[in-house]
Amino acid sequence: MENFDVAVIGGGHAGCEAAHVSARSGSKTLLVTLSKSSIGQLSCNPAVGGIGKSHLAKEVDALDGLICKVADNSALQRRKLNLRKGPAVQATRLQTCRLNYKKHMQLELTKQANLKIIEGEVVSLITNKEQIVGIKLENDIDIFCKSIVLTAGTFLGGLIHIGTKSFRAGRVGDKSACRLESFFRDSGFPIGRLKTGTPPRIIRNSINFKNLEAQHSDQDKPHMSFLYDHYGSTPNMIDEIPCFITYTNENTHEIIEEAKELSPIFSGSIKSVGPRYCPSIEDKIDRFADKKSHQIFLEPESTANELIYPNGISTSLPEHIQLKFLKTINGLENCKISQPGYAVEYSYFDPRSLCNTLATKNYNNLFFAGQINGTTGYEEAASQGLIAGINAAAHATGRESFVLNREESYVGVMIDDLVTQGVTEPYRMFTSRAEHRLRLREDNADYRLTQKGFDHGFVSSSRLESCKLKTQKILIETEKLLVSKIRPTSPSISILKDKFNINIKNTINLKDLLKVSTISYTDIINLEEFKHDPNTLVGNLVAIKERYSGYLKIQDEEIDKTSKTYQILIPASINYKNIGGLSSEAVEKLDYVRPINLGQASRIPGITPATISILRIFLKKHAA
Amino acid sequence: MKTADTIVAISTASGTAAVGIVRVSGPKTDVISKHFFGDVKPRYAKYVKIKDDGNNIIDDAIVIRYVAPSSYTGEDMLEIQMHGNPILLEKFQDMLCKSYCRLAKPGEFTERAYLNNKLDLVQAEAVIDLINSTSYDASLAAQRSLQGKFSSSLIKIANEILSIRTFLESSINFPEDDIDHKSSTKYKHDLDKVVKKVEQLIDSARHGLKLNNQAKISILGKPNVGKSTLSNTLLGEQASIVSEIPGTTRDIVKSDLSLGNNVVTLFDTAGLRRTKDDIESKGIDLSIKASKLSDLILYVVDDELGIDDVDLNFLKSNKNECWIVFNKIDKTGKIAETGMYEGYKFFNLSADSELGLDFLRRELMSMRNTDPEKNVTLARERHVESLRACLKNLYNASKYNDNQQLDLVAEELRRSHLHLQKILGGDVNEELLDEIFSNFCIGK
Repeated sequence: MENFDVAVIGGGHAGCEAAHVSARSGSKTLLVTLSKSSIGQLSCNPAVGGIGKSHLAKEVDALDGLICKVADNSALQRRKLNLRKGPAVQATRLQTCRLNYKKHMQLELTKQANLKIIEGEVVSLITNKEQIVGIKLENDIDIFCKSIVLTAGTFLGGLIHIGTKSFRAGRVGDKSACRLESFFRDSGFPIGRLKTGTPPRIIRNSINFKNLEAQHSDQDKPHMSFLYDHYGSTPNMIDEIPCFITYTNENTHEIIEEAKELSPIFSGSIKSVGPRYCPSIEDKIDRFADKKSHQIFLEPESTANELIYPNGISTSLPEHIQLKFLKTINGLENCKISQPGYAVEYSYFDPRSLCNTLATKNYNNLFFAGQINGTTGYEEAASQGLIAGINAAAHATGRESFVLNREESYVGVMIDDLVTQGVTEPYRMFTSRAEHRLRLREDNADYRLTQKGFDHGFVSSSRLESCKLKTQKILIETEKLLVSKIRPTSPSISILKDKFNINIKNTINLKDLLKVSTISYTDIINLEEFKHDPNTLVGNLVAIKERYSGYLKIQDEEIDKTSKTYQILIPASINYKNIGGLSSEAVEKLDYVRPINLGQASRIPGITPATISILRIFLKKHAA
Repeated sequence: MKTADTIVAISTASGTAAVGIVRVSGPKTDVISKHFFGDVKPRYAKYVKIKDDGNNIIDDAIVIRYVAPSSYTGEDMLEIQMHGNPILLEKFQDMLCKSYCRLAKPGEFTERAYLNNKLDLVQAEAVIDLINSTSYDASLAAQRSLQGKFSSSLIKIANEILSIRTFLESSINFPEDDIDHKSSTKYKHDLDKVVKKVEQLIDSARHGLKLNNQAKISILGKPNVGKSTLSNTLLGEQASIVSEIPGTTRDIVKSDLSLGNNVVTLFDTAGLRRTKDDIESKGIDLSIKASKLSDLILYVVDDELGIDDVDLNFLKSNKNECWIVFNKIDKTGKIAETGMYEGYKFFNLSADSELGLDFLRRELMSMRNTDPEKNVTLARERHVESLRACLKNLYNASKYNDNQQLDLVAEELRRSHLHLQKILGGDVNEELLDEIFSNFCIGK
């Protein structure tokens, strides 16, 4: 077999982005998957985006990644969440058609130059003198490559539980990659176990929707990708299908409560930790016993519309119990299950064994991305895939690595959290994790990242041009608002007072008026001082910028204040034991994480400001 | 290297002295200098009067301005030489912290000096030692000052902010989960309550707290042995800085005694001189109560009468540290000295003629100096500073009253929470998620 620059193992959300970005940056790339037809499979719920998650996805999009584009082309329902809570915490979410999603993802990959896709199971990595030089497939085929991205998802040591039964698999119907797991175990990688779950799938025409509340798309049908939102392209549109909402009730709870012991999480056969924000229905009923009812979203799985994903009731109870409790629910009285819900336990690597490029500390040409790093979610996986892919390619071709930091991106927040703090449960993005939440918005992901990606050689020039054009339009609109002034004698003064409770004494321009957080662009276009043609799309972006300008200024000052210290690099060769005055606890923690700079060191749990001072002085002394 | 913030500290060592120095270093030095002292020519001593917000003169001082890089730290600096009165020094430091500076961390002036190449390697090693030792003391001290009422109020406030944030952040992060999203009027109400509590805490921290946490010394003894005289003599010299706080009972007089950089509370059981038995016994009850609360007891004996069984019985029954003062040696002709008597430290002195008082004062001072109490006050000042910053964010948060501004309310509350985290430690992000997941059933 031929040689490659980069080999990507796994064709899930991390693997697709990794392979694609590596190939589009010009590296000769191979994607190895257990099954070609499963590439781009949405293994859990058929939705992309949501709070925190769309923030990650849009950053991937701003860097020319696939997830948003593919989701837009397969959307069944589009919504904007938190519409009434301020733009920085708003998020886009699309329900998608699984089949279309997969189809578009596979299409994107097959049309990408420099990318070859093969089917096979990787059983081990080929090493030569402390270096990894290739991968070994099941039938003893060796493929040599300069760097490797491992995106094995739940397939490393995957163990599925349904009731009292359990069997080895990464996903129902797919085999698990056990031999590869033992390779990593034997090589001394720190491995832990986590758990996740999924609900039963219900045959659509067995559901009675008549009395259920429908949830349709928002009126302005938002898109995920900047291409369709702001850059003027149009996605392939498919027919919309709404979601429906129903609820569990006391009868449901009674059945589940009685059968509790048959669930592997209560019987003790599952010992690993699952996500607290995505508990199984048996867990919800156990932990929140006083809650008489839980909400269920009935989400369409595809345009063919044959299956329904009942979001909110993931379970690992035996199949007959699943059916029994489903039948107590309004609308599901006669439902049929096409595939039972299950829990899956899988192996993950302690992400503290990674650098912020997602390269492992053991081998600088081996990269990990996605669920194997202890995260959960398509968007979390996709964004790690992108970072691992670009850095694998950079390593193979001798280019500089690509790192995003906490101040500029959610991707940076996530990776820094992972490599600095490790995980105790599957890691999911929440906007509350970002200290710069007001800056890291959906609307400006391209402004923050596209140029940087272009400079690094993996963002197309057409995307950069579109991004620049958007920025230009914002500037022009801002300029127009800046010269439109409301004088104290204007009739607008009393309108502002009566309608918006805004008291204005001195002359104010329309741009500054937008700083008032209760007024919007669409409010000001009706004022007589607004004389140019309104452009709501661009105007809204100006309004968002102005709304947060005061806060961002304060944050900028804070970043300035700390960045000089925090950016001080810690050499990889540092021996913490040789630094006088560090407590043995601090030495142990620093030595385990091996932070790259003082900022990262300061975020390690238990590292005090005094420790940072000592490090700072030590580093200064030894730099001289 | 330029550092963005300006730091201030009282730089003279502990101990009441004629002069106490406050040092300021950093970019706002010029602004401070202009505001308080007008034009100050660099490297020339200027005589100034320091005024507070109300334009009252609090002290006269000598100020020297240094321009970067020609200063100890290599930054713009001010050295203000005031009178060595810890209360005045702290007051001025406090005024600076309110609008211009933050308190320097232990060793920070020296750290800056090193980072600006003003110190060599050998000196740098010393800085590391300094940071180590002081940070140990400081953390010990901070821990001590975090015991008791102040800390429990602080934790309560942090928890209340956390609970408002839990509501806000869960409604922001999980808008579709059917969790009980409290109405915005409810969180408003909670917010107002927290604001009041922080205001009160700052107030009590500024005024009452210091006294409550001060070391306490009681003067005890039989009637007429010279307790009041001793108390007055100890306080007398420093009358200008002593504020008399009326006790809850007329039978005990509580005063502040300045010892070096520290202020201790002196209990004088001066009202014991009653002849009637029942009142006397009440008085003795009070004395014993006071002695139990004290860190140190000065037990006064009239040297003319000598020590007797009643005295010895009291001393033996008492568990706190006790020193014996043999008073009125001017009448018995003994020499002023100190030593050990029956396992107790003793002092021969005459409170009336101030003979031998130096020995006692020196011992009192050195006792205070071996204690990290100095850092306690320092740490406490920082706490108040953080509380003030916290309050500012809370004011801003309550300003927003529209659901559309939830993002901004959340930001202000996050910041207010971070300020408290500085005092209490812990990871606000993790605490928040823990709180959300334990209170709400998430997972739509």
